Amino acid sequence: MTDIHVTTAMPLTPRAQGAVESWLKERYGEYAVHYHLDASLIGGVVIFDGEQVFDGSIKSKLKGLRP
Amino acid sequence: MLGIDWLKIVIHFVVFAVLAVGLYLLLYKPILKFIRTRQENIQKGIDDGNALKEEGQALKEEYDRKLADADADRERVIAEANAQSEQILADARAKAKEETAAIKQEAKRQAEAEQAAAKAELKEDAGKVAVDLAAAILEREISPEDNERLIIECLDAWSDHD
Repeated sequence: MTDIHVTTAMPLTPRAQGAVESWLKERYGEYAVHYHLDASLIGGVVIFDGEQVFDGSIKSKLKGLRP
Repeated sequence: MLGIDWLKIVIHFVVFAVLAVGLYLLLYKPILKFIRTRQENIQKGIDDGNALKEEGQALKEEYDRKLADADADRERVIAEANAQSEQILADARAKAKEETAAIKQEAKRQAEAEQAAAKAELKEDAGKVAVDLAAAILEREISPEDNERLIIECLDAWSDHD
């Protein structure tokens, strides 16, 4: 079973949490999810499966915009 | 007759003849020889004088010719020096003009480079300020619904990417 860490800037709405867990199930099948809050992300989500990071946070998008 | 003593006359004539021959031999010939020698010496002096005069004339002509040549050389050297100095001056002016143009070009290039660098720096600073401003606004303004929509869009994008 894969341990998945999901980090967001604010608590997830039920719809957002359902979408996340549906995506995780489709991708990993069996998994154990751990939710974290990090206000510095501003918005969006960061998912880490122990090896790979999926970074959809506003923080990283803004970092990409910096000259 | 007339009391003429022919014998005395003959004797005088003989004495005169002897004297004349003696004088001729003893005086006339040496004097003539002296005169001829003297004449030859004078002629030789005249000839030598003429030769010297001609030689002097030739030397004078050569001197005049050399003087004329020297004048011509002097004029030529002066003309060449003037031409060279004018050429050097023209070259120096041209070089100074080229260097001035190069300095101006370099100054223009530096000014443009500095202007471009300043613009880039300003643009970078403006970009940073804009991003910081956007971050501050988003941090304050983003709602749970916005966050939800963002998350769902990300998940859809990652699914499509797979």
